[in-house]
Amino acid sequence: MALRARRVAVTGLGMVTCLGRNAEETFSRACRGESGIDFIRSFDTSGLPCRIGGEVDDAWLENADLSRLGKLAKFAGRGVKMLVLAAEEAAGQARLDGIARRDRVGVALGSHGENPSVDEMRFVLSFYRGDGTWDLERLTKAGGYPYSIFFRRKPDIALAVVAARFDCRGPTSSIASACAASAQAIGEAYRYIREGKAEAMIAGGCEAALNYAGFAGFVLIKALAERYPSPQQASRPFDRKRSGFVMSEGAAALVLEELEHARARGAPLLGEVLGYGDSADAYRITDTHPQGEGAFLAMKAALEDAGLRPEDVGYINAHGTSTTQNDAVETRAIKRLFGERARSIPVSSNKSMLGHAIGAAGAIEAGLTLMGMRRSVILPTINYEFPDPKCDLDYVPNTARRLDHAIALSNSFGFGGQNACLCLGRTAD
Amino acid sequence: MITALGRSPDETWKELLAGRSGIGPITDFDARGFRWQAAAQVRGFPPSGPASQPKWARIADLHTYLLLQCCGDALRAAGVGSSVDPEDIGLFVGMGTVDYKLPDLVPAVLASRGGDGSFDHAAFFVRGFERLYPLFALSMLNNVSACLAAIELGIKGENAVFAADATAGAQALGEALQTLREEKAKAVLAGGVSEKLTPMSLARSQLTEPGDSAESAGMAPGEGCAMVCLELRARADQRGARCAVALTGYGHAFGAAGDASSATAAIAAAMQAALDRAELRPDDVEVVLAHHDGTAADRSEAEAVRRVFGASSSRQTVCASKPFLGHLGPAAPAADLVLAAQALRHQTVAPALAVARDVARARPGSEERAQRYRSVLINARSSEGHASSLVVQSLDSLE
Amino acid sequence: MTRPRPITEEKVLETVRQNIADALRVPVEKIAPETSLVQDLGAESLDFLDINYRMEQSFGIRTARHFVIEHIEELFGEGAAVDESGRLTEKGAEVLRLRLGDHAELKAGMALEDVPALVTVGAVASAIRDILDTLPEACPQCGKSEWISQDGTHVRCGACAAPAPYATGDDLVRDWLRRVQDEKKIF
Repeated sequence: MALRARRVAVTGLGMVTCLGRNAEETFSRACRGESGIDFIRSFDTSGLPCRIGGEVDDAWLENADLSRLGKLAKFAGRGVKMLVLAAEEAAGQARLDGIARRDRVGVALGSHGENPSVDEMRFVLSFYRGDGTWDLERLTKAGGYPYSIFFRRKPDIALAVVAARFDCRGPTSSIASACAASAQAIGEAYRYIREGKAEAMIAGGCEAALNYAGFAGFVLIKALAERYPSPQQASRPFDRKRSGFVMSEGAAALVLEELEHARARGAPLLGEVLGYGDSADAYRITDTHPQGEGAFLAMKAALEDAGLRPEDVGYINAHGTSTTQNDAVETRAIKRLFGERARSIPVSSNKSMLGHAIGAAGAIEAGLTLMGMRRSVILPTINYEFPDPKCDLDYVPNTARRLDHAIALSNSFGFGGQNACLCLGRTAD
Repeated sequence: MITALGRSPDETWKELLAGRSGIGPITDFDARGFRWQAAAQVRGFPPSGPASQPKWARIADLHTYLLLQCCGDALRAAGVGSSVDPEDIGLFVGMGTVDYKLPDLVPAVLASRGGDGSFDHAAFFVRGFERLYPLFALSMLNNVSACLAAIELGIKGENAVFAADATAGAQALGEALQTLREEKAKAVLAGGVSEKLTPMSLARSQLTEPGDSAESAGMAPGEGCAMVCLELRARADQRGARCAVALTGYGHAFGAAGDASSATAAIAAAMQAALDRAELRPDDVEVVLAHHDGTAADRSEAEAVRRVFGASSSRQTVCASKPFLGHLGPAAPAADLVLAAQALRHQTVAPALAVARDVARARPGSEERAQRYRSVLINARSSEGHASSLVVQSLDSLE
Repeated sequence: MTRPRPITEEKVLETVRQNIADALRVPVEKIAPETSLVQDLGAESLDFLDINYRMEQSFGIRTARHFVIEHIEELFGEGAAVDESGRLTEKGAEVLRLRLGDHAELKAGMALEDVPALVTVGAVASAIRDILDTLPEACPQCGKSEWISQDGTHVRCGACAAPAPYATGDDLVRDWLRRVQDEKKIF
């Protein structure tokens, strides 16, 4: 098929995470099994049952040079700032500005706009009359809806900022599917290139919901780990004593590029996107399908898209959130797809070290998976101490493993039952 | 399709032919002081959603119910039924900004007041947050409505939610096209849904720059949803389905809004890409359904139309649905697709759709010159400068 | 006991039923004290949070965020109530029988995720009643004993208007568990 002729390489990679200010720092600390989780410092958590998270270095972010954003800076909330920094790293590595045809460079991002912030609640309160009634008319008339809130809430604002900052005039895509968002964005970008709509794409996502009502929202639905010996030990995917996920913030961006195009201009070849699959659970909004139906379908579809068989897979970068439900269900889905072989495939969760960066997680993990393949390293699942009879795979416990592997799957499953899986390859040869 | 004018494509088309507009005074709240006091609202839609899922009302709203209804209608109209496995049905939805429901937040806001009555950051995290309605975050997730639709209809295939402007709706259709061509699904539901009209959404839409045109009233916001069921022609024929129309092209591009020349370039590039994809020459197109939202960028669209169609641009009838249906945001491209299908079927455009003088500089009534309508080009763009185009063709033109 | 009870028994049950009806969108007539939230009304995990939220709003209380099982594990050590594969221990089952009444299914080996099915409307109402009964004789702010309720569910001091200072649901569960342990020496 003619479509297959176009292959998609990764030529740039950048990230900002709670473990590091760039991809290299994040990877090397993850390699040592370090945790980026700590007590939250940016606001007073004393009244909250969960007081930990994976924060990006605040002082560094404050001082980061975003001068090249120019007047776009006013639209960039915390998450978008991180994303721009990650994209600058990726674009620099890929020498993206060397591509002359800007209409052949696009952007695909997973982001959903910010949750209502404390500022927004302050704004809402300003229309409280003090007698139990609200002046909603004034909300719209006295100064109206503030621009700052409008732009931060708008789900595609990150896309507009990145496209303008990097002068990308090709196809764009803004995907809002919770935890699967940035993996889906990479998948869409890969399709655009494969089908010839673009030669290169910036793909990724960002998340900065720690400080805001988003965090409180997850506290309220009791999704977060609340009992832990230390913050660093709270995120424990596949471990019997896991009790919820740890929320973190961050951003990641990949530059995807048509392989021949990348070769012709001598761009670095960091790996390849081989396939992409997604699915819906069609089960319940908050509960995963107990048999992992959606997860199974997504992995299967990604492999089929790549034209590969289950036996070709050397590593699975799990969604592995550290919730009771996800980890057991994901394990079940892996066993269903890989059968007897499931136990001999290394499966690990980066979230054990990085926490769950929601919308950014898929892109961060895809990036780390590619880096691991190039270096023949499999990142560990840390905090793995107490085996769970429901989770009985090889989770690469606690220390990174040296292992040559050429093909990996990276899973991202979203709240609401949207599941994405990327099939990634080591070399673009 | 559900619009202010009707609960089905035929109903809406009938009203359009009768020259009726769905735009009327906003009555749900006092809209005095807004730029618009009128909008094309969907009225009388059951406010609580499907009777089988009463609990969904806690996290759903009008946009959810419109989407649920249209997804179901499209599947039934296509007669896909049990002939396709759930994992072979895809779902791609364009979705706007989803607002929280104020009552979900109010107790938390009140509990977060400091001594002087103003909002106290520390108080929010100490006691206020506990008063947030625990499901409020769910109701705001942009993907929740699509997930509910997947649950309601048992759809398990490829799916994504795109945000947030009209281009997101076009993208949903473009993705559906690609998914089918790659045979990753046998049938795909695709389209979009507008935001629910609230004081907040109205205030938000006020932040876009108005045009200086006399027709800018055409940009009044609208409510509605349009979903279409797409299948590969061969497959649809094989199962004996009655096809309405063919979606043959999709293209998109970005050029920063506010810069007229790059906006023009982006719109033209999207149109050209869609034509290329459909393997059509500009001359093959008889009707252009313009985005035409009454903003300053309408002039860029006019320029782009002239650029793409060149000297032949007087051949095309350029019209728009917004003066009748309001600005449907992410629902607009699929709604225009449905209208294009009606236009091709009934071989008429006027008086159903307003001639977009701004865009075409065409003479009123010029559309009657085309002998036969075979192809329609649909444009969409976002306030930031994304541009998308779709090509819709009648089936006989493909024979 | 001469505890003040400004909220009547009927009002508690009526409000509990109404809140459950509102959360689960079922007719209030379908809700009786012996109705099971999961088996009869189809409640899912998030519905319990929603129901608790409505109770807190209605009565001005703080309900327990953690289930009895979690408190047992916290107080008496991991493994006290649940074994490694997520099943109830004999001791865990014994405490739950005291809390939720005798149910045939309630025995060692029961899967933890099946326990919520045993929660009835009556059990919810009695947990609310327990919290309301922690209202002290006199207002800690002004020392007066003049609790009043205008709407029948929110209580405040008739003298100084301070809101009723109830114990939290979690505090109550912990106190109850300690009493049970003192009496029966289960763990």
